[in-house]
Amino acid sequence: MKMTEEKARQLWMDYLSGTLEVGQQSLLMEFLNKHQDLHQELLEDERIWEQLSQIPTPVPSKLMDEKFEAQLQGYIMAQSTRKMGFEGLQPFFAWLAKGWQVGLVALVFGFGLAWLMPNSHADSDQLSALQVEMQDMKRMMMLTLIEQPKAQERIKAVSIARELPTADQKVINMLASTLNSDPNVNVRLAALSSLERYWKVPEARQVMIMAIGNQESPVVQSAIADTMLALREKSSVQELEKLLNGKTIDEGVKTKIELTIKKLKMI
Amino acid sequence: MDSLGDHAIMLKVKAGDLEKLGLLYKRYSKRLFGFFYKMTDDPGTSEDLVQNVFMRMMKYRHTYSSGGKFETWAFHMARNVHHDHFRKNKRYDFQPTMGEWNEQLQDHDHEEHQMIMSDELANLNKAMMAMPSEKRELLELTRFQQLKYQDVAKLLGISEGAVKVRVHRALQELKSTYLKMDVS
Repeated sequence: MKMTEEKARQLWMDYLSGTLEVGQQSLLMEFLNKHQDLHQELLEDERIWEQLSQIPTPVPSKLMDEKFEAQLQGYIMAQSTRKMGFEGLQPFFAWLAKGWQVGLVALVFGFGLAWLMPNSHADSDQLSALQVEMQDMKRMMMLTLIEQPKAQERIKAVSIARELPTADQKVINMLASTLNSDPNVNVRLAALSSLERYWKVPEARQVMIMAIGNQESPVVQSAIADTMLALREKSSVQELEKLLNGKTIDEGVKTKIELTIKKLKMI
Repeated sequence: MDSLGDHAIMLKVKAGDLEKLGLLYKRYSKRLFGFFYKMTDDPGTSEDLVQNVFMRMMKYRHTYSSGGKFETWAFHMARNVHHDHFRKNKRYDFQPTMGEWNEQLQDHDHEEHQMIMSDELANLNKAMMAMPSEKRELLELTRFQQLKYQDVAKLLGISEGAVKVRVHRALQELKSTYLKMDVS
């Protein structure tokens, strides 16, 4: 490789970014030793390059994160509404979406005011109100869909339940009722999966334990056993034993339940 | 999930798992904010532009290539968002003189962004902000955002060698402006 000033400048940029190979570095240094003026110029460039990294950049405000979260949830909501083809509710959700946008503008305005009034807590109040509105929209859609005759739509309802940041008693009750009494196995499995998401909520764990005795499908029985083991839920042993002793049970599931009980007792 | 790479996460977003975009937001929002701040010198506008980038990512997620690199794609989006903003708002469609820049910087009332800088760094920052937009962008991408030259080359549609030459020229221009300020 024939070294030129132009090439040396390019290699120097690699050197500054720490990507210059050792062999090339030797060649470059050899060249620069013979061209001291260029070497001096590049050293000055390096000083500026290093100083640049010391210029501080301000950090964005928390409002940016909150606005993003609101936008993301709004977008997801709009997407899921469209996918469901839930035409009867479209105008309603469009109205809600419009309200959300108005709310967001009000929120930004509120922050402006809050900035002018240091003692005001309007910003956090506005944000809380927006978040509550978003969650209410989701809950409303969930409760509407769970009543639908199509299993696919009821699965969507329990999936929405899984997306909520927290589960209140109403959501847990809906999932419990679905897990215990929905005629479709896939919907019951989806409800179990959503309950699993709230494993930290004692009521959700209790619902799953109590649902053991209500299941007749080997698939759901097996899924609940897996969940209990994953959650290391020792208090489910009693219900699992009742399942073993009280009903006619599929042989394959029986072995699995026995193994699950054994493992849970060892925890 | 946090251990997943950016690319894998973006592929999930592309497949419809939109919630995962939140992870990418956490990883990139500050960097993108830094990029926009250097390009606009306005924290409020920068925050809005960061939002725009992520909204575009959602909207155009299907265009994300399975063989791509998320970081490059993110800055590609950011450049487009900035160019659109630039076209719509001709606020900085001029190159101010150094005197104008000094006045502007003194007038700025970014209380929340006041930075404690030595005179030397403050001058360097002024010199940086006085550079033409495209040169400032080059230094921002390579020095501050630490994008690889080959990725910047893809972004700009030029060769890697050309990127190095341009960055070096931008650096020399910055040095020249800075030294003039240092003397005055």
